[in-house]
Amino acid sequence: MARAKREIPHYYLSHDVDIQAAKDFVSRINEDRPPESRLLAGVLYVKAVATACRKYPEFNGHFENDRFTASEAVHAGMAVRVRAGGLIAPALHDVDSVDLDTLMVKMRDLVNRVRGGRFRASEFADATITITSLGDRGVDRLYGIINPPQVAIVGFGATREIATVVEAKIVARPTITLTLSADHRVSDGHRGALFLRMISERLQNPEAL
Amino acid sequence: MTRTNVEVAIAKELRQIAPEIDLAEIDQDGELMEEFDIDSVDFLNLVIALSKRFGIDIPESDYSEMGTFRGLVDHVSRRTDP
Repeated sequence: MARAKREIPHYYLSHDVDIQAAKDFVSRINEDRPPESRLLAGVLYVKAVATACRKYPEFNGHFENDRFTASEAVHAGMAVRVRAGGLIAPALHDVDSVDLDTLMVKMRDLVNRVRGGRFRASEFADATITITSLGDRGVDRLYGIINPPQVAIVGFGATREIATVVEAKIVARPTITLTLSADHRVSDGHRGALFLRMISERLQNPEAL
Repeated sequence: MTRTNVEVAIAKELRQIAPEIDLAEIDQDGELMEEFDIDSVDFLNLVIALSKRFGIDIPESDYSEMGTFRGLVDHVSRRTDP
């Protein structure tokens, strides 16, 4: 962690995202499903990040020996809190190429295994980007520290209702703040902004995730 | 099932998820997720476990009544009352 801050020139961006469409999609899907088949909004967030990584590969890969190598696949490190204290980020593999239901099963399995102390060392090394969230009991925005040799970490803040303008009217909309901490040796603010905007756009159309 | 039995059963499931939390020390009217320090995955695991244990359906529309420990026990008691 200290090494990451010392050696990686981090830059930071944030972007507010309207998640009404994402929330409505999850409610609709879950209405007729037993609890073991329900989705959490988190899988939409992971899938949206994964699809953005395909278009902007400079956020998905490893920087080693002064060189960045983009990864073909997206293995998202999920920051999971350990009840005894601490945070670890094992990888969910190939998140760009699985459907939401499969991703949900994998995510629940990973979180449950972490909580039970059952995970493999390779699950850490494999991650090509990390996603972090403090959940709805967290804060508005969080900026992570990049886990080397990765080059980016995406943060999802707590959901909050904010007053915003939709079709010339002021309305309350559920909103999250998305953040990016990225390695300036590999990407820059312009690309970072496009990356975050794409995640946001994907979340406006969750059916297509 | 009596309310006491429901409470004991729910406490058991919560102990699986949050083993270090002492039920005697929590605020039964406080926010459940805050009192037990659980996240959305834990909450979903709790819903799954309670659904199986009590043989009841717990749709998402019921979640608003399950926001506190007392609310959760009351809700499940009502649902399991013959």
